[in-house]
Amino acid sequence: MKTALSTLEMRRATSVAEALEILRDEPRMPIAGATDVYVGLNFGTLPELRYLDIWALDELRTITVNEDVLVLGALATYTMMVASALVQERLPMMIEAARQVGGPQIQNRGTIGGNIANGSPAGDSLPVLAACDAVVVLQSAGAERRVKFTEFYTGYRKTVMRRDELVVAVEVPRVSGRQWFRKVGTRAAQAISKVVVAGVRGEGARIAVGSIAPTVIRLTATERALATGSLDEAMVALRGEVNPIDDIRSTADYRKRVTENLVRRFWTETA
Amino acid sequence: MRLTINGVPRDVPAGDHETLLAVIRERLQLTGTKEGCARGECGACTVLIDGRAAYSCLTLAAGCADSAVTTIEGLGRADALHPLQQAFIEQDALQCGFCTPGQLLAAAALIARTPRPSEDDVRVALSGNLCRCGTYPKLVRAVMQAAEMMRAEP
Amino acid sequence: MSAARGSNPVGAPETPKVLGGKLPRIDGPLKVTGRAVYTSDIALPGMLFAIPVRSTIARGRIVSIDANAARKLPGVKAVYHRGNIKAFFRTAPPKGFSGLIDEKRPPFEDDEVRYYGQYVAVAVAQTMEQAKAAADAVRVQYAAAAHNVGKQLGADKPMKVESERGDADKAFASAPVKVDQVYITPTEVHNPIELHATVASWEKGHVTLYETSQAILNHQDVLHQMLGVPVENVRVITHFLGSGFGGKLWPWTHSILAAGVAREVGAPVKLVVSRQSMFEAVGHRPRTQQHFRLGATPEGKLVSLSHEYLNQTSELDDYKEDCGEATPFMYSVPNLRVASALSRGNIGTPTAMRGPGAVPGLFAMESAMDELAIALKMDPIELRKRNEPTQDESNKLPFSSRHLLECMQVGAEKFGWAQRDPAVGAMKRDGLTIGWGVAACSWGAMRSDAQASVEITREGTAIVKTATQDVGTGTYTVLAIIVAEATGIAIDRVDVQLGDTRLPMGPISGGSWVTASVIPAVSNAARDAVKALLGMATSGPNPAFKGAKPEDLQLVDGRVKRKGEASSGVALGDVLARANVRSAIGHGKSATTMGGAESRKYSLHSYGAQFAEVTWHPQTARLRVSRFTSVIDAGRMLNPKPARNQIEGAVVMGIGMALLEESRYDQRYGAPINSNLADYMVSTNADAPPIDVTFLDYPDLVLNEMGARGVGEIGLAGTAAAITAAVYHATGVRVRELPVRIEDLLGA
Repeated sequence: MKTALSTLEMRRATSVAEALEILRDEPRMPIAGATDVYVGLNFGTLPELRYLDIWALDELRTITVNEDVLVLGALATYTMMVASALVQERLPMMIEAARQVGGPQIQNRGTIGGNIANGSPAGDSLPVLAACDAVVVLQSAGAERRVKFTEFYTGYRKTVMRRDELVVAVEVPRVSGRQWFRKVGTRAAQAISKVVVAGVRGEGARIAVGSIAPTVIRLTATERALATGSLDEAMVALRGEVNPIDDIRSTADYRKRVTENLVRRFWTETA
Repeated sequence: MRLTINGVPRDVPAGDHETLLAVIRERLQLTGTKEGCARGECGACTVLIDGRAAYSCLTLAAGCADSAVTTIEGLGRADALHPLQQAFIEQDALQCGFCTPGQLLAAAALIARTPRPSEDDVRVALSGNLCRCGTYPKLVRAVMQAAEMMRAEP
Repeated sequence: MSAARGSNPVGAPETPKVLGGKLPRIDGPLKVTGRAVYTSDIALPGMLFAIPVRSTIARGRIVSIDANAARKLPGVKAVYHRGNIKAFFRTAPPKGFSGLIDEKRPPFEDDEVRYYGQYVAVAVAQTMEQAKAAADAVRVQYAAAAHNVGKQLGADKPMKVESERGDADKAFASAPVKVDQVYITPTEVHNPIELHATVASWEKGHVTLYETSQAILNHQDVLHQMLGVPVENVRVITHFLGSGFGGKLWPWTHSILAAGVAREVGAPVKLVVSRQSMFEAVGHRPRTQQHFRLGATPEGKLVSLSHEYLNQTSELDDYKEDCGEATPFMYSVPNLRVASALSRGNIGTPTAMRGPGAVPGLFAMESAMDELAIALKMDPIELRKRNEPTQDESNKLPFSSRHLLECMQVGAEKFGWAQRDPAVGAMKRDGLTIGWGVAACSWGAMRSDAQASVEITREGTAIVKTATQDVGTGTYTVLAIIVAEATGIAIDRVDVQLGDTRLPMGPISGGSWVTASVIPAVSNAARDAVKALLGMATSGPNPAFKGAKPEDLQLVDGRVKRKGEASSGVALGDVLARANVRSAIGHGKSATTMGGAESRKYSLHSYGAQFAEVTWHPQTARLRVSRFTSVIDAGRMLNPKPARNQIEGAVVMGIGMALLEESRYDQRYGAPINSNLADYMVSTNADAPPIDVTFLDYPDLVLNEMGARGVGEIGLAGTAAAITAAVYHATGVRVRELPVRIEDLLGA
């Protein structure tokens, strides 16, 4: 069913508490920078009619460190992350990712919370969060819970979130080891990813890949093989756990080959 | 709703769901801001919101009530062009002119924060603004020239 | 463009060197301040908005249209379809540049659907949003039939021979060295950033159309025929165009619909085509499939050339992509055959796109030449040298001006071609593999009919009028330059008026013809005006130079002076004031070269050489064009600044053609599937490498008195072939189907 903009109903929250009350009372789709949502709206591909604008909630527009955990408020934009000394110090691969999201206009408006909630398999920041074992903080009226980022998605653009919940932050524990990020697309800028890899090399390896499956995935078998065996053994494991598809943006074969190449590079460059 | 556009507060009878682009163009008749795709891909609708470049086609007008919005009409005046506008003319950094307002505002956002940009900084800053005429090399030169002009006469 | 005059604060230097100088474009101040008014910026009192309903099948029949729900929505004025709108007519067969339209079927002519996105109804409402809501609410039932949007092309009729000499097949069979390959170019979409748009307003049987048109006079003629109103009742205005690249040359169905709907509702109507519809219903460069066979001696002398090609077109229209345009004259070869046919599919009707025919044709020919050079183990420039013709062998005419080899030589020097190691993958820099490629290019030079008037006013200004368009190529500026040159009036005092069918007949903005076409007309008109002025200066009532002969006088810096005298002379305005005349008006014409004496005596073309460098990083499959050199032989450059801009822009588009652009069809539904600017990728700023442009600047005096040819298309010709040659040099993979996909280079 298509919708036209004029049939939409928008509410605007002035505090997180108010937003949560609104969500408790009626289902609404939260929108912030609207960089993804409005595309759907303009083209009639979103079934939603009721929205909750949370862009004004400055309390979520924060980047802090709390008990050695980097806390990215849901409304932290890519531009904010790129400029943040805390992110630079603790999660430099997020800066790499944020720089390659769309053009500056998207980076100024797109938020980490939006990227998480939207759950596009091509979301450039998501492999970073998956690789660093981030935790999503969800609030609802009177309650709060934390969900491991790697357990947040249940399928293509499907998450464990309830309709009365809001992503308020994502927490990143201290990452020990070298961080590595690569995005492969065709165009030199504003490229939609064909493959995105984020990796952390500490005692073992933590590797996440985007754009090759319905959700961002962690390469757990590959990680185990790297921890205990050779790079070649890891490649065998990788072939077993990566099953991309052909689509308009690339081919399965290409994605598989490039994922292998990127994981190899990750391992050799972080040695 | 009340919007501050180019320094002038204006009361606009707009719906909550309306985009900033629709309000600027259709309700305020500020037609220097263009629509090219309506989905944040071409950059023709670029404006500054509190000094930062934004796609007005993807921005809700109501969300800008507390912000300062700058459109091309507010960048310079016909009798006193902004250095970027002068440099665009001198370097011939335009052909058909349709993407030009958006390119100028994206460039203005860059220079405001990075008075001494590298050519790569310019390419990145303008990479959200498509120019199908392909004037990219001249755009880079023009922004470099304008940055220099602005450093010379602060 | 009167507002440009006198409002240029940056402006030109005080006494600009007009011709060949580096003048800023005179419409620059309007464009950089957002004051240039484009079609979709027009707002008229009481204006309504129209949004078409697009078909959601690619082939079949409309069974029913239910607009009841749509009509009840807020602000909706009407929903029109075949059942309730005054029918439109077809156009008679075109004559010259008049009556031209590619999609010839008028909207709503029958209930058949021939392509996805065909307009089947149109909603009209008080706001754009309301119209969009109404269009979405119209329920259309279809009887769908099997469609064909496949990539494999097949001829609908036997191939037709376009050019033939000798016996190409026989010579190929016995040739010692051969290339025999099929080259494919994809469906490409013009995608100017300005969406197509029409604002139509009727008053007492007269309609004014604000249009996004590269050819307003043709648009007027087509609309007059299709609407069934006298031609003088149709006025078309295009003051500024957000570019077109050919897609805005001929009218499309939305324009006819907008005019028809405005007539029905009795109010002005604005219709802006969506980006999605830009992939469906306003033309595209069609897919081509070109079979090239080259036969040569071991010394690299061509003995046979065969070029057989197909292009895709719609079910209804015979659009032909003239890929064989440059094939018959580019190289010396005794045996040649060029033949073609069409392949039909359920797609929108194709149309001319920048360098139509020659651009895909030269991708194939220049790729084949590169492959031949490799087969011969010969430098590709040397191969071109050995096959340089002394005349156009297709018609035995001399070339008016051809400097292809000099383009190659100059380009080779500027690019550093001598440093090339021809072995695949042999050149490295910073961990990247470097590839270098070269291709030749050409584009026909032509002049079309044109008229112009020039008026010298008492204020000492000049007004030049002609019904052509400025599509971003700098036509406003070129006209001002010509008039300034001929009248001695400063360029910022020349008011250029174009883009209105009420002005004297001007050329279409296509084929890179505008400059060549308007030069004689405007020069003649300016001289005619000067003659009238000098007549008044020397005779009639109260002449300023009584007794002098007009030929003893000249115009310098806005004043009339005796030749050879140091006196300051008399201001132009005073000459007119003394004669009590408002202004001196001159008229001028250009005659087309088509069928004219020049085209029977000379082969008229521009030439060039394109050099590309690519960098290839195999592990991350990153391919970039890192450097480009373009040397162009396009006659005399009247204004090198915008001319250089044209070539750079065309190279940027060529990078898109080579590496990024393809409109793809969903086989299940028949819809263009990547119909947006994220998935149909055009080059961004970050994709544009340093581009070195050189003009040889040999005047082509056969074409016009200033020796100028146009430069709008030639920069795109050969560019993709140079890039794929460079990709081969870097990777060893020859890509014969554009665009190059990094997926194709995996094995490299």
